[in-house]
Amino acid sequence: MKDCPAVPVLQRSAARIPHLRDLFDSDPARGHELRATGAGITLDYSKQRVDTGVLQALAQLAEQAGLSEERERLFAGEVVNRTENRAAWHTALRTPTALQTTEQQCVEEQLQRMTLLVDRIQSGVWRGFSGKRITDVVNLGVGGSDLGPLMVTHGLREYSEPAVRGLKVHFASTIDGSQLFDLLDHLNPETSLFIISSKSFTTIDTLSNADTVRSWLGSHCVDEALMLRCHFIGVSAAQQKMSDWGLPSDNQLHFWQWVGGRFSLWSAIGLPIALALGMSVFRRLLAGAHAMDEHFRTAPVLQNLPVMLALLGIWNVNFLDIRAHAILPYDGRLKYFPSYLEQLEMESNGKSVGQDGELLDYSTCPVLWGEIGANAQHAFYQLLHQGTQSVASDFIVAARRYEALDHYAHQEQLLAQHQLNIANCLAQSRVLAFGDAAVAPDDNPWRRYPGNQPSSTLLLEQLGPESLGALIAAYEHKVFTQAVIWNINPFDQWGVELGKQVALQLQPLLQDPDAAAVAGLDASTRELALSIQQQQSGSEGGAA
Amino acid sequence: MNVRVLGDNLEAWTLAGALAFTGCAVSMEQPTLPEADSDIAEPDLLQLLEQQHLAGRLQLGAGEEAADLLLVTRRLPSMDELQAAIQGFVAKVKKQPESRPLIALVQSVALGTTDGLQAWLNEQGAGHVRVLFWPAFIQSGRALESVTRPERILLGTRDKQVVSTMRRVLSPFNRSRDTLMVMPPLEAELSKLAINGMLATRVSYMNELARLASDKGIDIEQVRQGMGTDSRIGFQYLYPGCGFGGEAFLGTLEQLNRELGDLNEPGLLSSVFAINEQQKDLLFQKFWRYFKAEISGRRVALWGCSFKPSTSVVEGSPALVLIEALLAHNVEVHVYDPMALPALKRRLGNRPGLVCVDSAAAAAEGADALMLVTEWKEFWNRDMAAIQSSMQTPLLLDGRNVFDPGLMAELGWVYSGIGRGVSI
Repeated sequence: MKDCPAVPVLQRSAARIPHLRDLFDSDPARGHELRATGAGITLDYSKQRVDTGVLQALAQLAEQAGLSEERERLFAGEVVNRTENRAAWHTALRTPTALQTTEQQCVEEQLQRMTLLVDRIQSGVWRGFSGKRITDVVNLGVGGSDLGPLMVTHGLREYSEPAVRGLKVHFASTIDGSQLFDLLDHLNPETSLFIISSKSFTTIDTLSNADTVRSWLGSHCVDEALMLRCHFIGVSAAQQKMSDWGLPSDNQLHFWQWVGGRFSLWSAIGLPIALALGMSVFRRLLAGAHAMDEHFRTAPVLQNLPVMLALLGIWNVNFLDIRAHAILPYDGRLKYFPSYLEQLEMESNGKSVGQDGELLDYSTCPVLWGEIGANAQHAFYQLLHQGTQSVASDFIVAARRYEALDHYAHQEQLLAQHQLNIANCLAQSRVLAFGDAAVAPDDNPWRRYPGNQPSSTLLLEQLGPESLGALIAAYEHKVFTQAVIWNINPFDQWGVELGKQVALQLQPLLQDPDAAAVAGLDASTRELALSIQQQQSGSEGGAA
Repeated sequence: MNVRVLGDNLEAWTLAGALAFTGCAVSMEQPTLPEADSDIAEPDLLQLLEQQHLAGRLQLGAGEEAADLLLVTRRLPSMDELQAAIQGFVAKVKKQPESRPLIALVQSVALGTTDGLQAWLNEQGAGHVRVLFWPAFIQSGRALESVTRPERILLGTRDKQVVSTMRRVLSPFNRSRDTLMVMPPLEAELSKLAINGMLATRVSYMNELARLASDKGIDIEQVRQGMGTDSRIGFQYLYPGCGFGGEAFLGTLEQLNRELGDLNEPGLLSSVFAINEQQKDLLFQKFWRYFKAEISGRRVALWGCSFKPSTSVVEGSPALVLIEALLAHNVEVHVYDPMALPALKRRLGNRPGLVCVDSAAAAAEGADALMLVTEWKEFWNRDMAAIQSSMQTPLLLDGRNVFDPGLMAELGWVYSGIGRGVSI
């Protein structure tokens, strides 16, 4: 990035960019002009600390960094994940059937297999070991095999096909088994089906959950082959490992090495979405994402919604030194959207070594977190308004809601709540930008609001399968665009490997009753391990 | 008396035939009598209808005319549909303000329908037309008898003149003892729903007990006998089985369920429904368990597909649930039923794997299981040794507890009934 001629221009601009209040004073039309629209979503970035000069320079930065070429490679399915020498072809997963190339036909093939499975489960053809229909499905997965499906299933619940509403879909991800512990307490083993979702099929979190379920089911169904056949479906890119675990081939859905885990909800990893909402809803989600793909592929830089999200992020991080980014959906249905984005952005772009293997001397992904906006107002907004950190924010809000409720007495009240919610959303971005200037001045020092905190607002006409698909795809492409400019690989995650290895080393040591076993550890870990050993043996002694 | 019958179902034809038989002039819109293979074709009823048609007391293909009594036998779930259905009749009788025509609602209705319809007529300036609720307790298989020898005749009305008119019309069916009961419409409406709800509850209760019996190796048949001797309980509707059906019965139950409906606190009747749905699937589940889910490519014989004997009605029959489940698992189904095969073919069409055969023995040939779904009398005393010898697997899943478990075991069958025999 540093070598791009646009960088010094941007650095100079950053030094002289005025307060947002003044930007609006000098350009009253910016609210109308500084926006991009794609796939039905409008991005208003007029409350970002940019002016025409900055925007021009950012557009040049994108081109100088080679965005067009790398984007072509992404869509063509060429190697863009260079450290793992493979493509990151999530766009192929949502290419409409009619437009699929020969190479992409495997996608439709797996979608068809998925449709058949979904049909069988939803219609009651699929049976548990005792011949009863399935009433509950539990997705066992973590990270990309959990966050995406969970977020979409929760977000689009109201769009579920009427015929599938009897089927309950649950999610269990944590390695400590907490969620399973709750679920197994009330699930009926005869009517519960478990999806084991893991790209590598080696994820210890997921497989340890699966083993717990396996022994739980085994106490109700002694015939292991029957139990495996009737109660487990595997979704993975590692077919052989699924078979080794004992899954019959009819119970396996596949995806490919060229699908990154956090980009995989569009593949068979989306099975819980299709089960909870219906296959038609899943297809609409794909269609929405494809519309955003086309927009990203074809729209000019300054009208390109994902590219603008990326450039504004770079401007804030690298030139205005804003290292925190809040995701604030004003919509309870998007409860899990912030945690989904935390993985998508920080696992992708939380890197400090460039594509060439050299250490970077500039910032990359900011710390990103979020919460349903109106709830966060009662939590961390204090820091946004009066703290010492600069924070950039994305507000997300849908214009229309609750229209299908016209035969309910409480519709009017809900519509009023929706308006109240929108008013809060607009009020917060306004106060963040303008501070005191938004209202009459106050001399009380504790009631001063400096403003000048930048934000973007993503406006959806409605939150539905298509618009959510487009919204997710927009952030995926934002992440990709930023990675191109930062010259990092957004598709690997070497940073998460070491902890797994060390955990594997520690596991036997913790079980070893001999205190000497932990002697080689650092002092802190050793003392913690000894305390844990003591407390565990103490409770066993107490029980005896 | 001039009677107009609105509808084309078993209730319509039975009431039309019975009333014409007593000398009423009955008219219907239908141009022809029911076909011999239709759901309505009960032999004594068809014969009666033909006679009455020939005698001229049953007018078919008749246009809308004024009459003294309009029988609404169609199931019309909403008030709008009900109003639309009687609009023509009301228009005719409005021109005769001195007449006292009656409209009788024969099907179970949402509570308040009778009074609601009367109020609407009053608003229309047709207050001289009186609405009453006269539920038909017609049982398929013995439809005519249920009208001509009723256990009770229930009239829902507050109008003395209506009662006296109806008493006169129904006097031929009310001779040996007076069975006429009169109560206000709302009470009559709920009585009709409540009777069906009670019967269904008894059956589902027995099915729940049968499940326990099956788990514990208890013979539910002996328990049934023990319960039935208690005069507070009696023997009726105590048979466990693979699910009850019938359009009118299920329709009435659904109506009651709607009236009771509280999604937040599902009550007794929702459990009654759930148990019945479970029972309809039970024989499939036993088949599945017996073969440890290895059922693809096997063959099943189904004895009976009507929802009960002596009728060709398949609506709500467990056979439909079983056939769908079996076909979905690539199991070939060979069905025999003395009356209902045409109805089954109409309902399901040509389905690969579904074979209708013309004898019970033919159905069983080469089968991996025999499922008895309808307790037609002709199944009771079959040569079950011969049947078994023609089968691939001697698995007998008796959905109606027709056979004796001991005897069947002696013959070498793996016999599993509902709450008796081998627990599968």
